[in-house]
Amino acid sequence: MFANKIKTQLMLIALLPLLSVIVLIASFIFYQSKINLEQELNERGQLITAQAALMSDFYLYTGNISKLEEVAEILQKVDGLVFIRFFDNAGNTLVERGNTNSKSNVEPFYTVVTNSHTQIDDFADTNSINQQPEALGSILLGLSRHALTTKQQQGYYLVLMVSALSLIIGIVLIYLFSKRFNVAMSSLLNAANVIQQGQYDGRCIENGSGELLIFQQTFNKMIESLQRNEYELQAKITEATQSINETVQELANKNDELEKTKQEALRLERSKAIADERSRIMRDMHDGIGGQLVASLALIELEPDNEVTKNITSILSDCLDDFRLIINSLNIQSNTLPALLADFKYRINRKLDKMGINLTWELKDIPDNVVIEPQQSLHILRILQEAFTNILKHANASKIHISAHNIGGKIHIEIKDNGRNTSQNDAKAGHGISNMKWRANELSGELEVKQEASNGYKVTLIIPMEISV
Amino acid sequence: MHYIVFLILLVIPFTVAQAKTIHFVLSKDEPIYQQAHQKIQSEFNQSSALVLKQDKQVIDTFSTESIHATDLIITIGNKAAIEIDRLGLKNPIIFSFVDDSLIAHLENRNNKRWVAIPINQPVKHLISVAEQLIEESYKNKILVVISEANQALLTELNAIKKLKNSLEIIKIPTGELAAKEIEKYLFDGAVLVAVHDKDIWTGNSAKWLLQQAFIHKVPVIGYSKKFLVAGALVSVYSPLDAITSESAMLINNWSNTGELDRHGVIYPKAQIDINSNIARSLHYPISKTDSLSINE
Repeated sequence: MFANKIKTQLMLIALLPLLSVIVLIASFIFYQSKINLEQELNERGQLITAQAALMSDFYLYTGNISKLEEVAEILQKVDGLVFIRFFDNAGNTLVERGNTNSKSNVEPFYTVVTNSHTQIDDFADTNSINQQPEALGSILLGLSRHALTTKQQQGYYLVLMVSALSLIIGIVLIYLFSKRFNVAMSSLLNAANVIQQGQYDGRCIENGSGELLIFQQTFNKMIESLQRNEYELQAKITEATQSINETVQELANKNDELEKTKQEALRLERSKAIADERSRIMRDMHDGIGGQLVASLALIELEPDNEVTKNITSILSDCLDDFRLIINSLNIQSNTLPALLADFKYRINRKLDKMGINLTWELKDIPDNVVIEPQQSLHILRILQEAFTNILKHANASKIHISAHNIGGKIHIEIKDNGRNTSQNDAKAGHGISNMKWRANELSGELEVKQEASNGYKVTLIIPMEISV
Repeated sequence: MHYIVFLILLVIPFTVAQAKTIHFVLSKDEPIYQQAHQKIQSEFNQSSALVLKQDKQVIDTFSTESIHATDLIITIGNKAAIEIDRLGLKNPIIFSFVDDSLIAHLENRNNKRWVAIPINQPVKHLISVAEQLIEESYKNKILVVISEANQALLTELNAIKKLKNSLEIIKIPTGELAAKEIEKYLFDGAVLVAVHDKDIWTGNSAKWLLQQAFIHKVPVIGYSKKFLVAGALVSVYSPLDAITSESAMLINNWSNTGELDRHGVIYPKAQIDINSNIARSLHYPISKTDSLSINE
């Protein structure tokens, strides 16, 4: 029903009673004005009839018609008088002036003219004192209501104008007097709206006065308190969230660790199973194939020394070396890179000594805990074996240098010799180097074969540290 | 002895009843008559050492049973006077508070043991005052309006007119209105004297006569105090105190001698009152009106 805005509500609250009062007062003035005008007409009528009675009583008493006519003509000049009639005691018309037939918009006034009793005897009894006045005649006159109607209309216009003016002045005054209140309330509302949107730094401008100012100040204090509480609450929530997050993170870490431990346990379990199986196969191969190879080699060595036996002996020896290499690669207990390289050095060194080749060895920054899987060990050993086989077969070198370095988290294994250089075509011939590169690729590494500027070649195997971890 | 005492006790009341009694007879049982009665009674009681039996009756219920030939009857007002006169009692009678219309009738009584104390002054007193009023006026006519039928008053006025030429007697025929007839006389009249004529000066006509006179700037001399209130310039009348004093004096003499020491009409000392407002309106100096008196 009412407007939502405080300003409008305030305006209506102030304006409606004012309007009601104005309407009430205007109605009352209308009503009173009508009564007053009617009363005024009535009083005027009575006054004129009284004047007429005063002017005519003697002539009515003496029956002087000509004088009555004079009186009637004088009274006819009275403003608004439509007609006048004089009657004798019997009700007969003595004198008549004006438009006596006019009935509409004419207010009639009638009076009986009496002769008041005059006391002239000092010793008169009560009866003579109370003697009733003698009727001399009567007067009927009509007054026009036109003047009354005009006055009424003028009065109505005046009241309407005054009412409208009062209303306008009232509205202006209400606006002026409520302006400060409105501004103060608007300030409060704006602050409330800002706070409703969650912005607790909003404050009401303290522009009110009196109790309103106190209200605004109290409001601001409440908002400050609310803001403080909100900040404290937010800080506690943040702290709690952080604590929960940390706890969750801890739990996640522990879960990851647990998962890793579990995976490690599984891996170890699987590795153990593999290792056990590998050990069993290795033992079987060592005891079976290895034994038979050694026995076959021993038998051949008993045979007469000829080309065939040499070849067979060489083949068997190679088979035995290769068998040992495989066995070594499968020996998980010794599969760290330094151990792997040390074992390779030990086995190849005997061969190199026989051929008069000097082998130098250099390990630098290779962690001891680098464990290499058997398959990867086999790839590394095969690459080393192929590199040495090539040197021994084709290079006619007298020195071989092996070095292993940790460079930027990658293991660089270099094999350099001081043998003769071969042509490009020889270097490319065969599948040896391509197999070495394939194996390097299997190790997620790379292989470089370079001819040294002076003499010999340098084979570099670069493998990532991670593969061995 | 016992018989003698009884006889004395029996005779004493009888002898008291046979003592002179004063009978007051009021025209009506109304305050104005009672006031007059009380005032006469009071003045008599103060002036007389005798304690006489007094009786009061109203004329409508008047009874002659208690009245003895030696008793004094005092009427108050016209009605009581007329009725007592009609009864033809032989007692001495004081007709107090009567108007002069009764005087001619009373003068014809067979029994001369009476005294009348009128409330009005005689016409000649009013004329006397009127003469003093017009002394300095350029108009000199003293107007008196009477009805044609009032022969007694007309005779009295004619007698005065023989002595005073300025008197203008205006006779109003029966059925005519005095206020209407008088107008033409007022142009020349110096003063209008109101005389006690019931056909001319009534409660209904007095207003018009006074009004006409005032319009023509003619002062009116009235015969009662009430005339001043009605609009007259001067009133010449018998005041209440004067009437009661005269009555009390007559009773006192009677109580001493058993007879009235005077007879006929006794006019009390006149009172002349002025309406200063009317005097001012008619441009009569107050000092002049203050010096008015009755010249016998």
